[in-house]
Amino acid sequence: MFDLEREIRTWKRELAKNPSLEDSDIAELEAALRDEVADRVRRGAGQEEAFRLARSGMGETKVIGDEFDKVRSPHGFGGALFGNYVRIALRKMRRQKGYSFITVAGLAVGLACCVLMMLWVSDEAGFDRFHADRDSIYRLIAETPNGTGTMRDAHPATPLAPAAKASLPEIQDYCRYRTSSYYGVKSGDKSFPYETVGVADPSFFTFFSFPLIKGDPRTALEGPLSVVLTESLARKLFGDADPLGQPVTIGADAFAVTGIMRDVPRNSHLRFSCVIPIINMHNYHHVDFESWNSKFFAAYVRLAPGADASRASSKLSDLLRTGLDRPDMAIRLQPLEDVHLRSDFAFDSDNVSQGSASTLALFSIAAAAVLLLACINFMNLATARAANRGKEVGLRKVTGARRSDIVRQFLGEAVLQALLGLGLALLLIWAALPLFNDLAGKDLAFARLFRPGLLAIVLGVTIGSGLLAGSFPALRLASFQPASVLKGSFLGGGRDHQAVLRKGLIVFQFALTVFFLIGTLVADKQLRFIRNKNLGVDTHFVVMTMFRSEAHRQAILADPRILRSSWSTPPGGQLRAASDVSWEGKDPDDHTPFLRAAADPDFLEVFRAAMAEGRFFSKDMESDRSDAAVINETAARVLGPASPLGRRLKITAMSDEGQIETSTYTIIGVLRDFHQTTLRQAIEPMVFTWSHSPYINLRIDEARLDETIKFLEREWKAYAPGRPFIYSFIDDKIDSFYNQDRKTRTILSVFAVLALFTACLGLVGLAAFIAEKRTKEIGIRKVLGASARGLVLMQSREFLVWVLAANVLAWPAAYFAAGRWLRGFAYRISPGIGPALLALLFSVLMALLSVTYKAVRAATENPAESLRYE
Amino acid sequence: MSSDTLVAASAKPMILALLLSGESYGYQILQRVHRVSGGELEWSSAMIYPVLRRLEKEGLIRSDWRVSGENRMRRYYRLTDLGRGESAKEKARWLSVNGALRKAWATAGAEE
Repeated sequence: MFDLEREIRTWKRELAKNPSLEDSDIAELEAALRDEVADRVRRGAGQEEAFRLARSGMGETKVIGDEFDKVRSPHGFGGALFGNYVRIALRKMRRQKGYSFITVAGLAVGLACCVLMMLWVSDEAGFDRFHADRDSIYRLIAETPNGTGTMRDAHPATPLAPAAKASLPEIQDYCRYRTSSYYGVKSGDKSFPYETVGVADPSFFTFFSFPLIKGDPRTALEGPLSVVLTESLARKLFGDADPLGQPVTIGADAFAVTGIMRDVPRNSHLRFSCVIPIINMHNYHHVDFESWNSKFFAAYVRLAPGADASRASSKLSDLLRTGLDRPDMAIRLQPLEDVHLRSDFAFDSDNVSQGSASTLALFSIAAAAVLLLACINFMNLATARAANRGKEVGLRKVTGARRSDIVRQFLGEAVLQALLGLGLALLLIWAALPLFNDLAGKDLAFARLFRPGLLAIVLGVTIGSGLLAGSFPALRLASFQPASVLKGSFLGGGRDHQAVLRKGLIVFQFALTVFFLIGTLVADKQLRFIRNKNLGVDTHFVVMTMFRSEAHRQAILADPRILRSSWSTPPGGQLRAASDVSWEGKDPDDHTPFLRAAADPDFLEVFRAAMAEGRFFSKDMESDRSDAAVINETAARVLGPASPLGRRLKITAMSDEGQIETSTYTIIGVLRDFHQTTLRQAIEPMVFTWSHSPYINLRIDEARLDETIKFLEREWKAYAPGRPFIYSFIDDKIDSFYNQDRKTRTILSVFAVLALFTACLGLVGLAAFIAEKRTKEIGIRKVLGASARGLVLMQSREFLVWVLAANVLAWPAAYFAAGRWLRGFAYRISPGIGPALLALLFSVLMALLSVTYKAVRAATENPAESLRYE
Repeated sequence: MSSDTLVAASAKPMILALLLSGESYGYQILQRVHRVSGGELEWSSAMIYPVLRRLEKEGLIRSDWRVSGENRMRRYYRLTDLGRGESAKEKARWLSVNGALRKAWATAGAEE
C-alpha cells in the first residue's frame, strides 16, 4: 500500500541529511510538494504517481542544497563563513539530538567538575597571600625522631624565637601566637562566650598584615591588659560608639581597647575576633616563658633580606639543641604560604580549616579525568559518524574548500559544543555548589567564577578541550578524498584501525572508571573497619566537660543521670610526649617518646579499660597521688622483658597548664594497650600519673542522653554565666580524626559515579551507532531465523569484552594506589579481591544496561523495516 | 527553450512582477510563471526558493508563515517598498533591452 505520509517523511529525512538546508527550507519545500501532489491528484493522477512526479520535479536533494548554498555561503569571506559554520553546526546538533546530548552533556559534566575544582584550588591556593612579607615569613616546626619516624610539632620550645632574634642575624623579627575559645568576651551587659581570642607577641600587627582602622600597630599590644578587636566584634560590643579605650572583660580580667582591626580575611589560616598580649598566658596558665621544655605557641619568624632559609633553619636547630640538650632535634622552616595546604603536624589546632595539597591534587586529577572521558566520547562519536558527513566534506572540497577550511570548520564545531557544554556546566555548578560546599567544608561563591583571572582559565580549558576533542575527527574528515566520498566507495565507521582506536578509547574510559570505583570501595572498607574496630576502651556515651567551681562540680556529680566521672585526659585527646622519661639501666641514646596522660582511679571504670598486670590507682592509697605511675603494654615492652612492676620512672614533663615538672614515680600496674589517637598511628608508649586534669569525663545514662546534656548546659549557665559551655562527646572527637578521609571517600565516590555516567553515555552513543550501521545485517540474520535473544547477545558481546579488558587493566593501578593510601594507616584492612569483583560487576552491569536498549530495539524490529532502510 | 542564464537572470524581475499584484507563496508563483509564459518557462523548486531567500535578504520582499485555506502551513511573500521600486527599475532595464533587441532584429531583417 502506498502511504503518502510515510513517503514524505522519508523524503524529508533525506533532505535533512543535506547540511545546506535549514529546517524552514525543508518545511517550505514540503508545502510546495504537497501543493503539487494535491494539484496532480485533482487533475486525475493517482496518489503514488503524483508524488513520484512532484518529487522528481523538485530535483535531486544535492542540487537543491547546492542552490541554497549559492545564495548563502559567500565563499572566501571569513566572517560570514564563520557564521555559516556556526549555523551548520547548530543545525547538525538539532537534527541529531541524541548524539548532541551525549557529547554536550558529557562535556558539561566534565567541565563542571573541572571548573568546580578550579574554584576550589584557586581558593585554597590563595590562603595567606595578603601578608606583605609573605615571602620572608616562616613558621617554626620542631622535629623529634621517635621509634618509627619523626614527630613534627607545630609548637616549638617557647624561648626559641626570641633567642633566635637576639642571637641570629638571619632572624629579623618573630611573633608567637595561639588562640583560646575558653575565655568569653564581655562588656557591660553584652556577653559573647564563644569568641576566639588570639594571644600574640606585641609585634603581631607589624609582623603580619592585619591592618588597623584605629590605633597604632606598633604599640597596640604593648600594655599587658590591652586588646585589639576586629571591626565586627567591636560593633557587636559597642554599636556605633567609639570603642577605643573602652573596657572589655576577657576571662576574668578587664582589658582596654587599644585598636580596631579589619575583620580577618576568609583566606587566613589565623582566625580570631580579638587579640591580647602573650604575657597573659603567664597569668592564666602559668606558662613558663624561660623553660626550653615549654611548648605552648606557634612561632613565626621573618628572615632578614637576603638571608638563606636553609642556613637559618640549621642555626635555629643548633639553638634548640643547645637549649634542650637534645642533639637529635631539629627545626624546619615552613613557608607561610604552605601553612594552609601542607601542614600535617601535632598541636596545630590554631591552623584553622586546614586544607590538604594531596587531596586537592587527587581531586583535580579526578576532575580532569572526567573531562578527558567526555572528550573521548566526543572523539569516538564524531569519528564513528564521520561517514555520514563524508558527502558534505566532499561537496565542500569540490566547491573549492581547502583542507585547512575543513579542519577549521570541524574544530569550530567542537569548540562550539564545548562552549554550549560550559553554559550547561555553569548551570550545574550553580545548582551543585551548596552541596559541594557542604562536602568540601568550604564557602565558595558562584560569583567568584567571573573574576577575570579564573574566567580566562575556565574559557581556556573549555576551548582547549573542544580543540582536543575535535582535533582527531577534524583531521580525519579533512583527509577524505572527495572523489571516493562522492562515488560512494568511501566506507566510514567500523573498519580497520579507526575501530581499533575507538575500542582502545572505550577500554581506557572504563579502566579509569573502574579505578575510581575500586578506590571508593577500598576507602569505604577501611573507614568501616575503623568505625567497627575495638579501640580497647569504651568511649560511647562519655562526655568531656569542665567545671567552673566546686559547687558546680557537686551539683553535677550528685545527679543520678551522671553514672560515673573521672578527671583525666580522655582517649582521643591529643597528648604531648614527656620531655624526658628515664629509669635505671636506660640506654642514654634511647629517646623513645612516652605520651604523658593524667588519670584518676575512676578512669578504669569510665572508659572500661582493662589491666594487663598489677593494679590501677586507688582512692584508698594516698601515696598513689604523688608516687604511682601506670604504663601501657607498649611502654612495658620498651622497659624490657622483666616485669615493670615496682620499677622507678623519672619523668620531666609540661603540665596541661604549661608548667614544667620533674618527679619520680613507682610503676604499680600495666594497662592493656588501647588506641589513644588515630588508627593511622601505631600505639605509642604511655605513662599515666594521678595528676590534675582540667577536664572531667562523665559517663552518662544512655537512655537519657539528650536531657542529660540539657541539664549540663543549664548548670553551666548557672555557675559560669557568660562563659562558653564546653563539652564534647569523646566518640565525636575520635570520629573527627577521619573527617578528611570520609570527605575524600565521598568526593571520590561522586567522581566515580560521574566517570561511570560519562563512560556509559559514550557507550550508549556508540551502541546506537553500531546498531544503526548493522541494521541491514540484523534484518538479514532475522530473515534467516536468528532469535531476538541471540541478536542482542551478538551485539552486546563485543562491548562486554572491552569492559572486561578495562577491568583487568585497571586492577594493578587501582590496587597500587589503594595500597599506598592504606599504608598511611598503622591499622588497616587488606583490600582483598572484593572491591575488584564489585567494580567488575558494577561496570559490566552498567555497560550492559547502556548497550542493550538499542540492541533490543534493533533485534526486535520487523526485518522488512530494517531491510527497507537505506 | 530558454538558456539557463537567461532563466536565472529573469528570475528576479519575474518574481517581483508577479508579487506586484499581491502576496503569494512558492508553489503559486511557480504556477503563475508557468501560466504567464504559456508553458515556456518551467522553474523548479530547487531554483525558486534560493532566489526568494536572496530577495528577502536584499530587503526586496518579506515573508511570514500562515495557515492557508486548506489548513496547511504556507510561507507567503510580499513586496516591500524597496522591492516595488526595484521592480520598476527592473522593468525599465528589461524594456530598454527588449526595445534595443527589437530594433536590432528589425534592422537585421531589413538588411537581409
